[in-house]
Amino acid sequence: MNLFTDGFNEAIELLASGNESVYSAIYTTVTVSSWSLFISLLIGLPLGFFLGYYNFPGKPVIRTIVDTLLALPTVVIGLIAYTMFSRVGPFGDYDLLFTPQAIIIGQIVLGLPIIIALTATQVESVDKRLYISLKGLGAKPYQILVATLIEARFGIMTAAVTAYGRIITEIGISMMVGGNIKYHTRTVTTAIALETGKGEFVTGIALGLVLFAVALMVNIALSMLKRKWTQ
Amino acid sequence: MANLFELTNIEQYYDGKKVLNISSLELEENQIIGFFGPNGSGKSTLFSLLSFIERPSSGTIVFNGINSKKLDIETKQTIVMVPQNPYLLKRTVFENVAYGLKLRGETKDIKEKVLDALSLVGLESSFSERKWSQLSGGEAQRVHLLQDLF
Repeated sequence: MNLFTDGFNEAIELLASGNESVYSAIYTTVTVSSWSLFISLLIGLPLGFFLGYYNFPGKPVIRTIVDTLLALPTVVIGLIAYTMFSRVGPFGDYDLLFTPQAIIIGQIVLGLPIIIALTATQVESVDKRLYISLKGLGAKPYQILVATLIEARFGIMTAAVTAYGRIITEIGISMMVGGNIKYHTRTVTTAIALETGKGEFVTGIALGLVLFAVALMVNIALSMLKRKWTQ
Repeated sequence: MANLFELTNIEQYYDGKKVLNISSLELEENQIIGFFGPNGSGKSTLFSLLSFIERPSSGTIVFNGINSKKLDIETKQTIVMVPQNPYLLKRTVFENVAYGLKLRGETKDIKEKVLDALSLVGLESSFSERKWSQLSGGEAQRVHLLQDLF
């Protein structure tokens, strides 16, 4: 029990003291995860809409593949990304290995299936009268896309929160293609792994609490936004 | 009297199942016409075709002498289906009415236009900031009418 109370106390101390390496890890975690989520949304929302709205041959197969990708282990994504970005890999010339950009690309692979699958489900469950109404108004396909995503905004926000939760807490990708380089690619999760490996359990727990606090703040901000929209 | 709609050999399928089969139907202009039939007889499907919400699986629809495939979007927007239970966007009354105007490209003086439209159907300007969920069935129907027709 002392481990947790000590961890909590140290978390407060670490944050209050403005510990440079801790704040660097938090900054990297939040920046990289936010970019990953943003790009995942940019690509995933139209694809999710397409998958949920249109009927086409092979749709059940694609749906099954996307649903299966939800369970993709982060360490496998990290491994594949590593082989892609390593010197001998197809993208070796871009010098992406052990950079925040490499982590972002790996995390997009992680977040994209979540956004696509949950958006498709939301689009499928939207009241069918919406589509009749929009078509009756003469809306073009891209206008139907935008209006549908706005109508399904609460569900899509849940999809974004789910994806963000998975992205911000992953370690496999950050460790393998980020390399856990201090002040560069070290995230909170890779820092926890490092501290635990060194036997610094209290610091590890403190960093875990920091990660939890960041996730909590994101969720509070989103739930406030949701309340504002529904009132 | 000229024909407003001419339907020939219309067939409509949903998931491989035939739901509508009309060999010939002519609807004259300036008429009030009623359709009646049991559930599943294809009334709503026919209205979806007449308002160009859906395209028929086969057959031709001629509107005012022009094949529906050659009709421009502006002409199609003049034909509106008003359902029994209208769907309003999860936005304010103002945004709902303005949405229809925006789709038709009428964005100039949009605020005045929306407020004028509301007064036209007996809704006060204070209604414009109400959310979709705060309207009665009759109010929602009026807002939907404005979204489609105004």
